[in-house]
Amino acid sequence: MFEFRFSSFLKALLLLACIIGGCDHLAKLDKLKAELAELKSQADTARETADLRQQEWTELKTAKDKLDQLDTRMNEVIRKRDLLDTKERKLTGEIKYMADSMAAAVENTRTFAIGTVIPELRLPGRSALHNAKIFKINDDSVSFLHEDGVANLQAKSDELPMEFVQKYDLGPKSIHGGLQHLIDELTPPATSKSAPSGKP
Amino acid sequence: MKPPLCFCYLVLCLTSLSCERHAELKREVAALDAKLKQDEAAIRQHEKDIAELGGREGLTRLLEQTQIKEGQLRPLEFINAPRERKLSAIETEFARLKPAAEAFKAAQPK
Repeated sequence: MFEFRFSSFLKALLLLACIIGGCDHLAKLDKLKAELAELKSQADTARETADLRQQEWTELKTAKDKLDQLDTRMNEVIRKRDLLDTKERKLTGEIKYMADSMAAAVENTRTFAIGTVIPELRLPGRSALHNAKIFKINDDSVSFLHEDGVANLQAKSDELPMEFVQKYDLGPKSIHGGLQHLIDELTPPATSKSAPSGKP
Repeated sequence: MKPPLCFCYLVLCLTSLSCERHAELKREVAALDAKLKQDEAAIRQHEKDIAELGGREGLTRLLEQTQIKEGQLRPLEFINAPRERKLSAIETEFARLKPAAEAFKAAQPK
């Protein structure tokens, strides 16, 4: 006949509880492991995406920085160009003014000299001229009427004394010629016009 | 030791081990979750930055603009340098001629 024994029932219950607990634990463990695997996969994908986005952003930032640097350089170059424009305008104005006033002074000096008689004009490397009267002065030479005839003395071949060259601003090294040359340098070639009218 | 006590001891040991393993796995999950959130935040930030710089298509636009700017800049730089030298030389020459011209004008007959 079956005899109920409490200790056997308790043992069976305990065993059952252990089995159920163990199963539950294993199920939870499996669930956690699956969750972990999924999270790992998501984390890897997120990492890759983050790296990719960072790379894209770095490329964009580099391009933007380069463009900004170019903008800064461009502004600097434009500022420099504007400064050069101002400097050129100022210089052109000053030189033109100086060349014009110099042209008038040279013209005046040469006009004033016409008719001047020099009793004895000593010349370098040749005989002196007596009673030499200046009758014409141009940029390179001075013409004299003297006792023996007419003499046209060139400044560039050193036929004239240095004092004449300086006094009437003659020859290739003349001040007015130099100023005119500077104006020609400053004037753009397309619109460049040597202004002979400025010369006496 | 009696068998029931031994059994109880075994059950306790197994429970303790399983709890430890469970906690360890949970910690790993939490760490990974935090890392995932960090990466997602980084992605969002980068996407925001990319959008501010004109989006992914912005790179092509920026490169084109850079090329255009370089094309504009080169001739300007090429012109400025010799122009500066030329103006400087003219300025020096003018500074040399100016006193001579002033002296000539001062000496002209009135």
